[in-house]
Amino acid sequence: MSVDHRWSRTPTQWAVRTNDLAKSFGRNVAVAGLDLHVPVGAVHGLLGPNGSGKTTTLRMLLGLVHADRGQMEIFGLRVPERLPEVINRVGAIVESPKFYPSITLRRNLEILAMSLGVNRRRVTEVLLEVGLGGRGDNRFQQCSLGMKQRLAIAATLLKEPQLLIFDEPTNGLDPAGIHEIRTTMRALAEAGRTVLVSSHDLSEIEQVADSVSVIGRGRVIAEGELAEFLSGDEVNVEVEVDNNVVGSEALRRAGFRSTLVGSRLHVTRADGGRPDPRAVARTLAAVDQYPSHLVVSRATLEQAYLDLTADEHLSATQGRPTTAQPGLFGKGVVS
Amino acid sequence: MSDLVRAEFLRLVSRRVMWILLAGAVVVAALVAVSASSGTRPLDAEDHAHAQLQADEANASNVQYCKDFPEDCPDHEFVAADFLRQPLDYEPYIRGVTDGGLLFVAFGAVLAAALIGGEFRSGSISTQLTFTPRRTPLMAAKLLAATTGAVSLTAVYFTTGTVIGTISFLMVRGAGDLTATAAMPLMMLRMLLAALLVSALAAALTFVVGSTLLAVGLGLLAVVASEILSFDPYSFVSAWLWLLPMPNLMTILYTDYEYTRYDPVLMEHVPVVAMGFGQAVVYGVVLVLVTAVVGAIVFRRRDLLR
Repeated sequence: MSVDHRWSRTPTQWAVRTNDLAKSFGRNVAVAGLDLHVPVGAVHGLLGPNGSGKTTTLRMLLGLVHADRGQMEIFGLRVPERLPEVINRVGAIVESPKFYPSITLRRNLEILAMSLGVNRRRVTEVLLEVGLGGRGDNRFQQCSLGMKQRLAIAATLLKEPQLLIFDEPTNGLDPAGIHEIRTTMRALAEAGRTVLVSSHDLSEIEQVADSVSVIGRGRVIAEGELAEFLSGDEVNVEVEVDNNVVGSEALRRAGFRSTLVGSRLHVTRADGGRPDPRAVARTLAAVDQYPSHLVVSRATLEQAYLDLTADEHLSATQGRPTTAQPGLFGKGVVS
Repeated sequence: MSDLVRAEFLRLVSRRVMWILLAGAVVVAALVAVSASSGTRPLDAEDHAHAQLQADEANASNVQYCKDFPEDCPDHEFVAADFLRQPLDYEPYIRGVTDGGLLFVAFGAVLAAALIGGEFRSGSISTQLTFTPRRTPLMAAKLLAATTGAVSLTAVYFTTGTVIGTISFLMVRGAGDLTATAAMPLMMLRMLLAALLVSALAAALTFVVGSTLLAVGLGLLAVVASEILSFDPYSFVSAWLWLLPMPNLMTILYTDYEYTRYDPVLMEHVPVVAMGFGQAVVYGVVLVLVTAVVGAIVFRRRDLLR
């Protein structure tokens, strides 16, 4: 399967690169020939549904899981063979933060710092940096999920890394916690670090990422700059009619393409051009389907993602028409 | 490597459960020493009177027995000396107290397995590997720390038992009777050696199977199977006794430990000197090393999904 590359200008330096990466667990194929490219100095989103191989890919990069085949590089060094040489430049939080439950936050970091040969003073610095300066004596098991996430970020900062890997960092967090993580990721990127964040939350990625890779069934389907995924031509018209089947068929005959999202049709042009809302309304009226709702919205990452993974969803539902669930990924923005 | 070892020891002493267990060892040792100290008390008039009473009761029973079974009537009379308790001297008293250390040898093995297995279960070992990705040095550091923690339980028990036992003995008998041979510290050293080998083996086995429960289960299975096989009354198994873990452990703990087997010619159980102390130690060391090597290979190849 070829990858849909959407780089306006292909980066010359990659923080992470994989080639034909594959991993199976028994008969379950988790990663099936993945070619990933993460540019240096950006926030790069790794998008995909649950079970698409994101976490497995990150674990392979970090040497926690052994790849069946393929090559991986971090800052140009082959991993896992040369992982010990590059690990001090990498900080990672894979899934939920895991520390020693009965030990205090400070002591957990001190243990890690000692294993690295880092001065204990650095522990106080990173705790302050993530806003846990006054909570260092709390036991890990007594802390909220937000505090645990912040501790995990503090741990990654012990090494002063150039690459940070976050796997689903906002899972289970409240809105304030999510905002904090998002702000932290942007600040890290603006400080010149590379951030690789894996998520199924498209709206979150849309707000922080500079570039994305879309994964489906263990492969990269598309990757490139976020702006290229949200280019101006990809506008859609959102309509609501009484009979979506009749309306969808009429639109198809008129050269449009429609996707049912909840109770509304998202209409684009089959040739990729910008759909004219008046033409859409006329087409529907001709078959006595008068829109009760019509909004012109710019492309969202959600729509781009759904378009890219339509075949994946179709296969997954065994031939049934693709129907995205309402409210799963957020709503479009009126332009 | 030294940073890793220091980190692991810091983790060990930071765990509240470690201090609770050490405190428990102190309490248990103190209780055993104090309760056993009554056996060191010198004989007094009450002891003599109690012994005389028991002798009189035994003789009275005999009178009735002789009336009922005159052909089986015993030909001697019981005296008080037959029932007088023997006050424990210092060395047998302390040995009796420190024999309880065997419990802590077993407990230490479970602790060592739990310290390692807990990291697999919680996933904290994955977090560590994102900082120090070389698995074999990390495993070695964890084995060293877990074994030290486990052996310290036995050592604390011995130390407390010996100190409090000595104080109790001095209070009861005075310094004049405080005599001991080299056998006493040698016995403690053997028990510490046993604790070291057993806990190292448990920790290494946990790296092989990746689970506390599996490691403890396999260990129990090995102990039970070993005991069942070593009690074989015929010579079939005795030739292979040296391969079984329990005979070797018993030889390390009690150098005069003997196994017997039934001799069909003599029609009695005859002692079998199974193996020597040195042989048992070599067995233990080789078993630990082999398990550790297998554990290192398995750990290096294990996919850490937590």
